[in-house]
Amino acid sequence: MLKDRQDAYGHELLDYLNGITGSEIVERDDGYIEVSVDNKFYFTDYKDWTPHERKAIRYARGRVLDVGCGAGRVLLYLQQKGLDVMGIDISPLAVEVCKKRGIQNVRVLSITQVSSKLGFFDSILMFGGSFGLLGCPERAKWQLKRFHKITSERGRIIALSCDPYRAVSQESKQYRKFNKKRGRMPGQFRFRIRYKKYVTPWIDWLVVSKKEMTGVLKGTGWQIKKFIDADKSPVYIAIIEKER
Amino acid sequence: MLKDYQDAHGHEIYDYLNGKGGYEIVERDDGYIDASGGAKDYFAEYKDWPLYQKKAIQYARGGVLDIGCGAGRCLLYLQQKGLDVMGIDISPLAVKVCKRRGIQNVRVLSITQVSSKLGVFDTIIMFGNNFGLFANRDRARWLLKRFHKGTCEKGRIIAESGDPYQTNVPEHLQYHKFNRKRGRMPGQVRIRVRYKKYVTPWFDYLLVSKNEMADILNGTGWRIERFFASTWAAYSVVVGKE
Repeated sequence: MLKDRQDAYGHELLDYLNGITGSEIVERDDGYIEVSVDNKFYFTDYKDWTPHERKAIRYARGRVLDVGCGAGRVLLYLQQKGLDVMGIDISPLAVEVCKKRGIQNVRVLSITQVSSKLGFFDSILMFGGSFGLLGCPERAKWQLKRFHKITSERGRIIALSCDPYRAVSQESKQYRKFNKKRGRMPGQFRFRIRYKKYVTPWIDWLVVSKKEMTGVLKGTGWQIKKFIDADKSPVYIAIIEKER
Repeated sequence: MLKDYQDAHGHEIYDYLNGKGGYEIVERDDGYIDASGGAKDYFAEYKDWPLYQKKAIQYARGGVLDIGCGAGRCLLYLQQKGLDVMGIDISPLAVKVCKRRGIQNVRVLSITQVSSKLGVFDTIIMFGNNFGLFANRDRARWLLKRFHKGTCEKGRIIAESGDPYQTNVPEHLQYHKFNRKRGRMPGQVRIRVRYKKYVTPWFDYLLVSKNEMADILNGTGWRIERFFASTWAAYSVVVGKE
């Protein structure tokens, strides 16, 4: 759980909900800094989602867990569709925003706190790049095995990631090199989010190519069912199912 | 002169000229961080300027010096009007951008390097909040006296600032308090500009109310001729000699 002074994106979401402006800023551990997505993105209605997101969400079924639910855009949609949804986020203010927006079942929990105490799920969602929350390959495998145990036989993971090798700017190439040198995956970003005076701790965020994702799944009991590609962008969504 | 890795502002506008990027991040010394208007504003054509800037720039005449000229939006306008203009900026890349955009007389110099070697000017321009480059009260008064010597008898300064008190943002109000406590003017912000991996050194940027500005001018040989208000905290000012 984030402390209040660490809850950068929670404050951002709550401010947005209250009509106060500000920018989400992402600072990487090589000193690279940029303005991240528009705050509005976290509140987009289903009709304004990207086509690949709309396609992928059709695979959600049964009891759904949204990991890193943010302002709850996916939860809202699925709840309206009548699915049994639960959301978790490490940001207390994000959870507050979800509740204010009418989401019934949402808790302040981190991905590593997901356990059978929450019950069994049919679908686990890692949208908006939340596959990155898996952090690094080892932790990803450990986490995926845990998810295997708390999902039904027809369990699914719907995860969005982005091919890091398709970023061709000088800075991106340098960063991948920098990562390789220190024994990390090229797309294993370390960054923190800043908003006004709020700063998250440094976060490891795992961004993988399709091939790397397949590698990460190996030995976890999960396998790729299909990839849904974004139009003209390196983003893709994986539909992941249990091995039979 | 900024070193290349310090030239955040220059890289930002250089990228924007080449159709890339263009955001600008400002970090304050209390940890507050936010994106500013970005490069687009530095390239705005006269017709897209806010009214309080359009009105003030009409007071430019004769030989003009633009301090902190950025991507040269003022210089371009005045050059097209046929005025004799010179621009200075501490960003080598900003100066390069100006040259590419067809500005003839532009140099890499800081505000403290303005001297009689550059000639005598009729008008000094400090637009886009660049009154802030005075940094603090003492330095403002010192530079204003220097500018007094470096301008003709009918010399003018056309400047822009933002009233720091026209805000209800809790972080900004806290910052005013923080500044008072350490003996600074409330609107004396210490900031650095960041863009990609480029970071400027920390610098002081002075935001003042109209009353504070009048007080700073007092005894420097300059006085306020008129203000032009915007619909927010920003305002422009025409300053003339006593």
